[in-house]
Amino acid sequence: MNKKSVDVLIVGAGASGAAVAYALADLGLNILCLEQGEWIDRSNLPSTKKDYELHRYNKFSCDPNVRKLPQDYPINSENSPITPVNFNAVGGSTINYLGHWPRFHPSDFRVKSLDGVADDWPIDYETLSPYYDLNSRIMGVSGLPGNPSYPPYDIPLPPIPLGKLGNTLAKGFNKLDWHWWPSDTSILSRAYQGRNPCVNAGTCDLGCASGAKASVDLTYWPQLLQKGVQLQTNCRVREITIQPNGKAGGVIYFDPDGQLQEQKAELVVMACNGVGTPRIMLNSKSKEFPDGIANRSGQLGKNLMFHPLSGVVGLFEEPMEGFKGPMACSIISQEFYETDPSRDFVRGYGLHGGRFTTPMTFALGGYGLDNLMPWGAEHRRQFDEIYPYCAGLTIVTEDLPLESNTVTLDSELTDGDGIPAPKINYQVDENTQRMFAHGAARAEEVLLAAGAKRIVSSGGDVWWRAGWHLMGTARMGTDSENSVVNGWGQCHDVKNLFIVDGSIFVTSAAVNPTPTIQALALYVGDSIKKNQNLLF
Amino acid sequence: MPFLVRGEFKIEHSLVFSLVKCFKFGCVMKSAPSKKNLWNSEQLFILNEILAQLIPSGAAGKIPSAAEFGVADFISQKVENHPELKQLFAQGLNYLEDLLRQSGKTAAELSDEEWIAFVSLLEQSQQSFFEALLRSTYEGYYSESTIRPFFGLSSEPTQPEGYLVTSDDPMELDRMLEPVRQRGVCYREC
Ligand SMILES: Cc1cc2nc3c(=O)[nH]c(=O)nc-3n(C[C@H](O)[C@H](O)[C@H](O)COP(=O)(O)OP(=O)(O)OC[C@H]3O[C@@H](n4cnc5c(N)ncnc54)[C@H](O)[C@@H]3O)c2cc1C
Ligand code: SF4
Repeated sequence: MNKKSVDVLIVGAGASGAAVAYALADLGLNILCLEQGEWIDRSNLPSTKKDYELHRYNKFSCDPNVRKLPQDYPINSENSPITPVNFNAVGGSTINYLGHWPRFHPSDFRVKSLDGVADDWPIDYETLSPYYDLNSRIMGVSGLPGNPSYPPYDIPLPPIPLGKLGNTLAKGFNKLDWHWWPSDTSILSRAYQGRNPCVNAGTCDLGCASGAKASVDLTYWPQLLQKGVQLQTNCRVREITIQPNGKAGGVIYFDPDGQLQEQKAELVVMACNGVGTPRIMLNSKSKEFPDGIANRSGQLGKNLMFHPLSGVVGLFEEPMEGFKGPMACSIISQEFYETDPSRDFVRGYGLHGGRFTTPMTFALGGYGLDNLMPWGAEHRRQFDEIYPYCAGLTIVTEDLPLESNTVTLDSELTDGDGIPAPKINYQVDENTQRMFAHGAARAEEVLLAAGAKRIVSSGGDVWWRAGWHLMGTARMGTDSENSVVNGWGQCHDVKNLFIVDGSIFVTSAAVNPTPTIQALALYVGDSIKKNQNLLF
Repeated sequence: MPFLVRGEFKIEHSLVFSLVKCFKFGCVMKSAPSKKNLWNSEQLFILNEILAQLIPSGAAGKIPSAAEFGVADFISQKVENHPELKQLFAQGLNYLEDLLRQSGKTAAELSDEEWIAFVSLLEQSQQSFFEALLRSTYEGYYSESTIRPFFGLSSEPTQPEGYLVTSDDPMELDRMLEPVRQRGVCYREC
């Protein structure tokens, strides 16, 4: 069935889909967003239930292969040491993300010129800076201005409390005379725009019932609906159509009743994240594009980047209260962030001092891991003598783009509508492994300087269920031979098709990506506004 | 014995547990499987002994063991909801029953040390079952809200109350950050 054509069709109602809609919403355009998930029920989130931790291993897992909800699609990650995680709902993965909110550094956009690796971005920090600021105000960001590892910028709200754990780690950094700073967070330290402040519940991945954590169903979407943007939930896009004139015609999708529908549009914007977007584009095959729409470069689905993570944990004399406060946020150190030629790796990493974890997750190996802890007397000892006294640091490494790290379509596995599932082929780069070794040794030094009696867990394997950050699979570039979109998110090969999620990252930096994803989506929206003559 | 209320995994405190106790303390009870439980009373007795070894009680008995929390009921429910686990658990329990038979003792006669040896054997020779059992035990045990206060957490859901964390005194924070500021800008201009 054909429906009335819309001006702008956005696929995905997560972080980036909401931001691009915001930038376009004041033009009087007819904007429709199709989202495969639905609105979440805030009165019924796991964090309001007594058995809240159990939901982390069930229907509120960050892993779609565990959740298996009808709106989820499976992901084949047999050939990867890291599995991508997400959430499929209005709000996308901001429903279960952890709200850590660092920006990229200016140098992150210039890696080729500065360090001779990967490629420079076609845009720079300065261009994105006003969009970072605008997004901070819409999301409601807390933090302390004046961090010497960035050019100056404003932050709407004061920082969240460091807590006992953060204060302890900070002392360690100071002893070593290393950089640290209170984390920027998209979590409210004060009431803001009708939302309540954080109550330090410590279960941000289980949905923030108090509404302190900025998920876009709370921040952007109410404004967007008021501005007339239409949102249709439970609608899963199967493919983008192509017209004889080489322009995208719209999409074919499954409606809430599972019926196939066609939606025509003047402009199609993909916002399904770094795995979901290449999946649907690879599935959009035609005579013009036998390898997936807008894929003449062959780069679609390549250069997948994750930020491989690992952690080091120290044992302290006093209880560290690691279950209190936002899970991933307290302090961040960027002492080892910028390239230093004296090290055996290029680029760098961050040491993130989040909080510790809740008992069930400790027993099951930690957040992002699947290593059951010992049973019997040793189990008792670890709970009584270790668990309460732990504080750790996470090593967040910059992942460099490798063509061999890919998202492709699985030949057998499909979602509930029969759309092929994404298949991940990924290996941790050698450069990253050297960063891990360096980072683990530095993290141990900090923990010991902070007063740890000993190290109870030292680096080790990369975390498995921690493919939180999905980047690089439809990268930006000025050269249409080796990139999918140009400097403002427009596909080189299909002028009215745009991508606004982490797929378009050229490199990954060594920080959580969402502030940059959303700043980019706002920038792309603004650029569409300014360059309407170049759209068709 | 706290009754089990587990949100969406809510289970009635079934007959099973009293059966198990009865079995353990020697009343004559022919296998009388509860309608809520997959296993007969002997299997349940064995399972509970194993659970008591997986997470033993602590703090001189103040922290209950996994057997004392009715984790067996939780596991039974889980297995029922995950058909792929049924076969695995059936095999695992058979294996344990065989071990018991070979020992020439009744379940009630085995000492703690002997049960520990059983668990070690299980871990080595029935890896998939053992992993599924251990995982389910941890899930069942730590979703019991009354266990959390032993480790400093509230027994209440984390929302809406949350936890009190005192805000940092801005002057003190400034003082702590002074050395970081002193070192000056640490990003590359470009
Ligand atoms: C557990 C976890 C912790 C995280 N912590 C942090 C953090 O602390 N800081 C940070 O910066 N980032 C964090 N992230 C990452 C962050 O959530 C993502 O970067 C961000 O949400 C990406 O935005 P997006 O718009 O690209 O995709 P998403 O937010 O994932 O949204 C994509 C949307 O598209 C929809 N969609 C996909 N395919 C289709 C289709 N075929 N048809 C219709 N709809 C479709 C999905 O349902 C989804 O709603 C975390 C993520 C997770 C899962
Ligand atoms: S710690 Fe704060 S942000 Fe996280 S869930 Fe609790 S209230 Fe929300």
